[in-house]
Amino acid sequence: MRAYLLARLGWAVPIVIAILIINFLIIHLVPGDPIQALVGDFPTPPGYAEQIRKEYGLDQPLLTQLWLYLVNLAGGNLGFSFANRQPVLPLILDRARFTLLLMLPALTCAAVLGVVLALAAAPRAGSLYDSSVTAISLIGFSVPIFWLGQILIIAFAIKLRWLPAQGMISLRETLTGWAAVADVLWHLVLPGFSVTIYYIAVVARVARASVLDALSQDFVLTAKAKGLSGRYVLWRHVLPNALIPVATVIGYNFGYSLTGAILVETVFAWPGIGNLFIASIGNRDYPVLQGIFLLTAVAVVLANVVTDMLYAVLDPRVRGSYGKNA
Amino acid sequence: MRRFLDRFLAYRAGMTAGLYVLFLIAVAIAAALWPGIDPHEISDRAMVAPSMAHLLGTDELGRDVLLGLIYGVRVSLTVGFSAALAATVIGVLIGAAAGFYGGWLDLVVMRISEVFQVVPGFIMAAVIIALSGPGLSRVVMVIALLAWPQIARLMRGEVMRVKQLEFVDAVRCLGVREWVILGTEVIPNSLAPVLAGATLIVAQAILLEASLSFLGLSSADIISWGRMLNSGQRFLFNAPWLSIFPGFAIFITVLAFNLLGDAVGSALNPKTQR
Amino acid sequence: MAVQPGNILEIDALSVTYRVRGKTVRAMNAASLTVRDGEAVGLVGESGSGKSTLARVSLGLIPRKIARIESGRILIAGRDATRFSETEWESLRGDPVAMVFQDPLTYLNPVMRVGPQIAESVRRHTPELPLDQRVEELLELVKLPSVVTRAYPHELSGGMRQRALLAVALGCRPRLLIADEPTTALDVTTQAEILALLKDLRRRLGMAMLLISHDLGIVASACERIYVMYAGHTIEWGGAGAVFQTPAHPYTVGLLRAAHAVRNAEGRFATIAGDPPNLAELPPGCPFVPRCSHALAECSRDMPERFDARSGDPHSVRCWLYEKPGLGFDRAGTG
Repeated sequence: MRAYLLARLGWAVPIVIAILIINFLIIHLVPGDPIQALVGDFPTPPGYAEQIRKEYGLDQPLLTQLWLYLVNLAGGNLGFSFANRQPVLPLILDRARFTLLLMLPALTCAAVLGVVLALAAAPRAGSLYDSSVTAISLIGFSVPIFWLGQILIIAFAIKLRWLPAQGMISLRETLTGWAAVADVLWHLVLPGFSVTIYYIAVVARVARASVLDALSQDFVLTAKAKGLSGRYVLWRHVLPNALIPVATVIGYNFGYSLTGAILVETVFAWPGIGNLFIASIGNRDYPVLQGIFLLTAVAVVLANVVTDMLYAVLDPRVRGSYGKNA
Repeated sequence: MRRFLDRFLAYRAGMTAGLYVLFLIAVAIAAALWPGIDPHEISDRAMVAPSMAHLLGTDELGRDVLLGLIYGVRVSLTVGFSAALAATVIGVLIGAAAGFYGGWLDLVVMRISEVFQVVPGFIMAAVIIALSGPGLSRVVMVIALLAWPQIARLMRGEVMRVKQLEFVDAVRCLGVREWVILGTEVIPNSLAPVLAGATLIVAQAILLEASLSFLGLSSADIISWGRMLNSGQRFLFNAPWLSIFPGFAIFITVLAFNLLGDAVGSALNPKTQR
Repeated sequence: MAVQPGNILEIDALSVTYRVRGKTVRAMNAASLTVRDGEAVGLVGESGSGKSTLARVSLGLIPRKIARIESGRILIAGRDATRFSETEWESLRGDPVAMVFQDPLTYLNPVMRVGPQIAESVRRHTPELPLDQRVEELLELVKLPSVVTRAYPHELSGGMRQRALLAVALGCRPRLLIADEPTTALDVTTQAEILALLKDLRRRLGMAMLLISHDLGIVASACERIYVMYAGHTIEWGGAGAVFQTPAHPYTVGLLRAAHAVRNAEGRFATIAGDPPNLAELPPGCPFVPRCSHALAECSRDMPERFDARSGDPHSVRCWLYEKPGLGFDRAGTG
């Protein structure tokens, strides 16, 4: 078990280093002076640009620059956002809370719904119901998530007036306690649903295949030969085996759902990373943009490692193959 | 009977998608050649709802939405096809080399492609475009940069399979040089799955370009579907048609390329079950 | 538990077909087989002879989407189960008929500990017994240490897995245990151990057993009666001694000779000349004709119902050579 975890962490380290290098190279993409990328296109106090130029060694060879860049990162210094009058790292972490508030319920919903759809569809492979699950997942893959958000706003907020279209809380009144929680959940419905759709597509497609695969495994015959009912076999034997690839695909797709959440936030004015991202594009606040790329990329690597751990928890064979577990 | 019906339906979906793509190409060419029509033309009939005069309505500057959609086809298809082409060329060459020669080259290529698989591609593309400035060729390059590992992986697997086949050994016995064998025998016989992968990349590229334009990361003087959605966002309440139609165009086009990719994949692989 | 003696399993002229890629494969052709209560019966044949289909059809475990019972009957403890629904079959599985399968790794659930997999049988069939105690008892019965309950299948050796699978089946308290190639996936020493265990358990528990194998020797040593299957037909059956010592059907003779040849010339596989039949395009008559050196004109026309030995152990064969005894083929099977 420990050997397995070390192997997965060993996998993550070079990837993170590669991400850091990519981020460093992006600075040099700005036409003209790379100082722009480190400072942004916002009025800065006099002398700040020169101080940064020295701090990052921009007049020195590229390798020295890379070293100084990494030293700065190691100190948690992702730069300063003059548009927000705040250092980049706490700014992004603060907004990340709201993005997670949007993503995690949506992910949970999608995981449960996707698996339930697949469980219902797979034993009836080839039926009309099964085909429609396949069709739904194809649509989920193709629909632009921000457009889906706009359509939901037009339908449910503007025409039907059932749900709020913008923001995370009602501005007109100040709510406290459970009323405030309910208010946030109320605002969560439409953007959450937008994020969920793509994920349901991913989960349903993989879950359908893995349920079909598990159903055809030999141990299902043993379970049936004991006289267990079909329903019991499906839930107790097929599902735990089918969930392994599903959990994996959910974890590995963390990056996609993060991207989806960012796009959806801009449609619904949800105050998370996505909103910060689009505001920073408008402000040419480059340090924030780079910080968002860096932190989301590292978050995705972490999600991958966590997924691998989950995989080991779900599948005893993985633990076994790396030495006997205690 | 059921199998036959399934196959027929799958075939028909692929066919319909193919016809739709041909139709889009025709529209793009017609829009380029048609004289005397300017989609940027501003009129005093701003924000008119869909009617006989303007089938899909007009935007806040009085520009016709249908005309915009027609001119937007060109951007979507150009980006989609050129990005897929670039990604395919890069991916085929690198993937073939990795699969054919193996060893450390293979190791390095696989690790690099892993990085691109893990990194959130859209965010990286958006940051690059935001820092380097908008422009179609930049968008194409960024998408190709993000997408080539998919093709390289497909190609690598296929080359590793093909290079072990008997006819390759036969050619080798004739004394043909290794890199000539790679170019004339192995690569041409490994391209089938790549074609399906490339079609799927067209779909991803169109969606990615639209997403970037939706965030405002495209130049304002080029009409594209994503750009139209970006301006539509401000008028969801007064002029929902500004969002509904361009988004639907993106959706259907991406869906078509996805269907086409699936159909190409199963058509080229007679063993596929499903 | 006292049971009335009778037939626990009776398969009567059963024909089963599979539809695979538009073709119809005839897996069983009017095959018949009977297992009486408490009796050990062996079933021998090559892969593709229909013996596994016979095992599965006896538990209603053939895939309903592609398999069809064309004719014949299955009787389990006297009940006609031929047209049973899935739910009706559930009431017969485990008790009175349980099954152990060939490959003990793939037939155990890989993500479930062994203990709970055995406990499922106990809960389903003897809920009145104390669960943990009963699981312990079953493990003792198959000679496994009790720590095995906490293990996952992949942590056990092949022989231990097969024992665990056996415990799962015994937990159902079956009147008939069907063992489909229970030793094929194991090494020779373990094979002998499992076989000895099976024999011992059958005697102690007084249950009937249907032992299926491609190895005539294994079956003859463990069973009282033997059936031989070829291309979906039961072609020869009788007392174990009679079939093993004096095989009648040219196929059985060849099978036995091939087995001896393997034992004599080490490493070299001796087989019966010719290819196994294509079950999708079976000719009329005896399916062994293309490989048979004694074939008569009528062999290509149809198969005889049965010819019985006139004396000694019960012994029957479906081969025209025995219509007129003494014709070109010696009853002693040395020909």
